[in-house]
Amino acid sequence: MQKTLEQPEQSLTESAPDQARAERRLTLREVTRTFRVAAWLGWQIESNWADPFVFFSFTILRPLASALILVVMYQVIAGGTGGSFFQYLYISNAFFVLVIQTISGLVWTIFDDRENYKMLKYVYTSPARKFAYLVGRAMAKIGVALLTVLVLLATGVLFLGLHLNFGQVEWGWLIAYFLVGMVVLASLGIILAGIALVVARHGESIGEVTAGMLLLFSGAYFPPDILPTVLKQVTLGLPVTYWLEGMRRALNGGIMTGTFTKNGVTTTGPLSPILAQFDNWQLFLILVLCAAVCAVGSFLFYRWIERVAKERGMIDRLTGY
Amino acid sequence: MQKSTGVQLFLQAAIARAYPRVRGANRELSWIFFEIVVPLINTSAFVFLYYALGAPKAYVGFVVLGGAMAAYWLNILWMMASQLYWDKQQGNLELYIMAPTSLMAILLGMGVGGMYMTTLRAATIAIVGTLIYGVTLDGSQWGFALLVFLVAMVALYGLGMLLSSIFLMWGREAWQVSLSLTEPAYFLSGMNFPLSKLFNTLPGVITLFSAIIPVSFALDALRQLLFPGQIVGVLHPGLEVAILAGMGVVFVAAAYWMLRRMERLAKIEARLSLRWQ
Repeated sequence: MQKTLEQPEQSLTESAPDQARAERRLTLREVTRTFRVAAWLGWQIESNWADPFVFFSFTILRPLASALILVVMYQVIAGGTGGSFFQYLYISNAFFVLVIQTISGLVWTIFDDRENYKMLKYVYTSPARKFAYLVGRAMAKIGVALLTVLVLLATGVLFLGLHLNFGQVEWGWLIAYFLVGMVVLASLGIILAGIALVVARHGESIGEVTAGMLLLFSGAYFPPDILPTVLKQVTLGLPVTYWLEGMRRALNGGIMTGTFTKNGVTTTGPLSPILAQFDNWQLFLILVLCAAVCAVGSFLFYRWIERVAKERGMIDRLTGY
Repeated sequence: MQKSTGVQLFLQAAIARAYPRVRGANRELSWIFFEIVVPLINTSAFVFLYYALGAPKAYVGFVVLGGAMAAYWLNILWMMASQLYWDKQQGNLELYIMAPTSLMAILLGMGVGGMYMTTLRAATIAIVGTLIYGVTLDGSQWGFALLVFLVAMVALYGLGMLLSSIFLMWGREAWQVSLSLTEPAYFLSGMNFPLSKLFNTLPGVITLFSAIIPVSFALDALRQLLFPGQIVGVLHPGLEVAILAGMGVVFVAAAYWMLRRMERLAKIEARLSLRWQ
């Protein structure tokens, strides 16, 4: 209390640059604190309904079942696992967990806090930094998703015939693609969270819905080359397509190739010739550009739609059924 | 004014609960988009996967049929099993309990209304998927296929009523369990591949879990009837429909017993109005 009373006096004696530095420090401290508290809150909400073992089992059950569906579908037709297409399918599916959880985690924060816990209005009336809060709240889901990816890859290697040569993994590219991709996914999530501010509770599945649509339009289960022309163009217009390709390449140690037989002639070539025309640097550049556009776009969009939500009195409006 | 009692009151309560679902089925346009277009897109992802693998044409039909049945499973999880949990969060559950009618009537109304709502969506998914991907169905045994479908619905919604009564006790666990039962059920019921593949490769205990989900035998029987000669079924469709009928009786009876027990337990533990736990 004493410190607070002293502050105006101090500010009078401080020079302008010092004051600006102090304000930046204060902002950074508030952002960090909001993020930390929101992440802790998100983790409690996600996990404290059960003991750690039950929580982990339930967390892993869904993505593991999704992977098994693909494994069986592949086995039914190909008669086994281990081909390059299986590698493509399995790795994409594992990383797609991050797409679902990051996007839906950010969206769900708004619905959960507004409709379920009825806390969003209190968050807005507190000095909490809204972006830091939003991202922090989603961190638990993103963290769990990351763990799930690792578990899925380990399960694939140990039991399902996935071949990963750790000596061939391009770790630098893996980290670079991962980080840029997370910026893209978080930005998409923030845009949808903004939309969530102005829609009623029955729109709560927009996160999963968007992720579900990306399943078809990101080349996650199959190379985009096999899609009809229009769908192929849509796929090539989405950054998630390039991110998944980057992650596959980095883990595989290069462009994924396969053997094809057509009219009795066997050839070897990339699984996706369209994506193979980009080298790692080009792919990375595309992703960096997408990340920059998405990050700036999502920031501006959220600020605008937040104002709209405030003007319409929607921050604390509950769905009455 | 004459008061309704007994069967009349039971039916009136069931109709009253079904009413908002029937009337509201197509009122919210975003629901139609979320529940028809999006599942169709998800189904398409699996269809293109089979295209990429060079699978026989019948497999595309299996996936489209699976996509339609998935709509029912989602309805069971989110609008039957979890419904009383939602009602508890919204404050409606106390009203149901205080009303002079049976909770079974409420569940029956929920089931009938949900079935109507889902049938509109599932039929659209099946028809549009069939047309887009050129699926050829054999209609020579349509009567039998319809019987399988109807018996499967009784078993499926019976299971929904049973789960609903179990979820009555739960808080956030209900939400988590519903989430966790989605993809595992898709896998165990062979939603996107022939069930026989699963039964031939998985240990017996796991196939038992698969058999408990009515969608499994329903899909297997329907695929055998609508795509004859293109799939090896787990059992003869006649036997599968008999098992489904047995499940229907057991699930509805178990739901009745469990509901009474859980309602009493929930009252003792004061969970009926407990929110956000």
